[in-house]
Amino acid sequence: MHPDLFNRQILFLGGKGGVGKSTASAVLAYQAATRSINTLIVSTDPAHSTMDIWGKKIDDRPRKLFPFLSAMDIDSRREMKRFLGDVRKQLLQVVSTDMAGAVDRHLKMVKHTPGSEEAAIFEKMASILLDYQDDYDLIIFDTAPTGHTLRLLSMPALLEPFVKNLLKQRDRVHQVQQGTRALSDAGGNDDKHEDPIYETLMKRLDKIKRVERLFLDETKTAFVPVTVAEALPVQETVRLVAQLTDQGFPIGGVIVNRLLPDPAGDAFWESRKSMEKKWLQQLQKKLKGRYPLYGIPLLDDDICGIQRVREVVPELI
Amino acid sequence: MTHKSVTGQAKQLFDEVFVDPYRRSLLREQRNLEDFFALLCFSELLGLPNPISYYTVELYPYFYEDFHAWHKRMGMEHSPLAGFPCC
Repeated sequence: MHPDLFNRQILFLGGKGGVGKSTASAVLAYQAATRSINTLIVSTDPAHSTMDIWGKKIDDRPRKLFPFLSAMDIDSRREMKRFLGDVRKQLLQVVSTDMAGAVDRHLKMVKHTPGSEEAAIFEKMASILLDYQDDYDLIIFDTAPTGHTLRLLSMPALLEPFVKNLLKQRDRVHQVQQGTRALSDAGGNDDKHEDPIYETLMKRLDKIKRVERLFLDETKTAFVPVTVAEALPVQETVRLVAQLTDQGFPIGGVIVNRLLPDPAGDAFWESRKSMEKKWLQQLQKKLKGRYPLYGIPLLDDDICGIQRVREVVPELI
Repeated sequence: MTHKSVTGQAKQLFDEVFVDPYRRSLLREQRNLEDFFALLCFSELLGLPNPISYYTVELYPYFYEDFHAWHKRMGMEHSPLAGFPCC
């Protein structure tokens, strides 16, 4: 059914709010699991739809739902709390005790700085990719709506030059330091690899680069926009695909959710069905037929719980 | 005057004329570079956008002493940054 999609190790599902990203992720994950592909589904959506679909509590560690299927979520607030908590502990070791209040005020400010939330999610996503890659055959990221996802995926491109520049500047500090040390015969160690600032930045850069390499590797990764066959979602999908390909991210196909059943002569549904057909054609045309479209049918009930997820088999359109 | 003290004096003169100014300018350069590095790391505290403030925050513990020296050198007795945990 999705021979190409299940050949990858990492799938990102994204798209406009409400089109059914979590449903599509669940359906794909289940289909993979039935093929004995050990799958981890990771929800980065603050709406926590994944939890509602499986009817089970999901947290920051993989939890086995069924054979070959585990799930976890990324909560940006939880991640920021943990990360800034570590920094706080370290800072309190170096500042005087009456500065504790100032430390807390400052860290609170960093928490609310634009970009921190994405950085927290990116950081956790990077750790999951690097830590769990060998434990699972397939990792499916169920991401938040389009804008969020695009910002998240462009994190490496944003972070890398900044960290690189910091490293370059730090390197210059070390070079001059070496010169002054040599002249004053002070001895001491000026090895930059013993500078915790340099080392911390190097570790960051290394992680960012490894994740970026994974993101852009079309043999391992695919981005799968999810949409429904209506005007606005289709237009947004076309834009999303353009932006992703612009940045070099491989597209694995598009999932079209809630395909209508046969209208069976009813005038209202006939009209809806012909509209659906029109938007499907539009989508194919705008994407120049480059990517496979997978359809998920509209059911008479919500796709909630394993019983319903099991029923849904995506078909190539 | 012994031979030894002559060379000693020559070395002292050499140091005063050539080495010391060079060392001073190197130290100044080092400080400038360190200040610039600090500025890059703390830019968001000065209201300049810093897309990686979430990441530079983990450098703060290592930076604490440098930061204190920095704002003193900039002519500010106390930390200019409201909220930054310094004096």
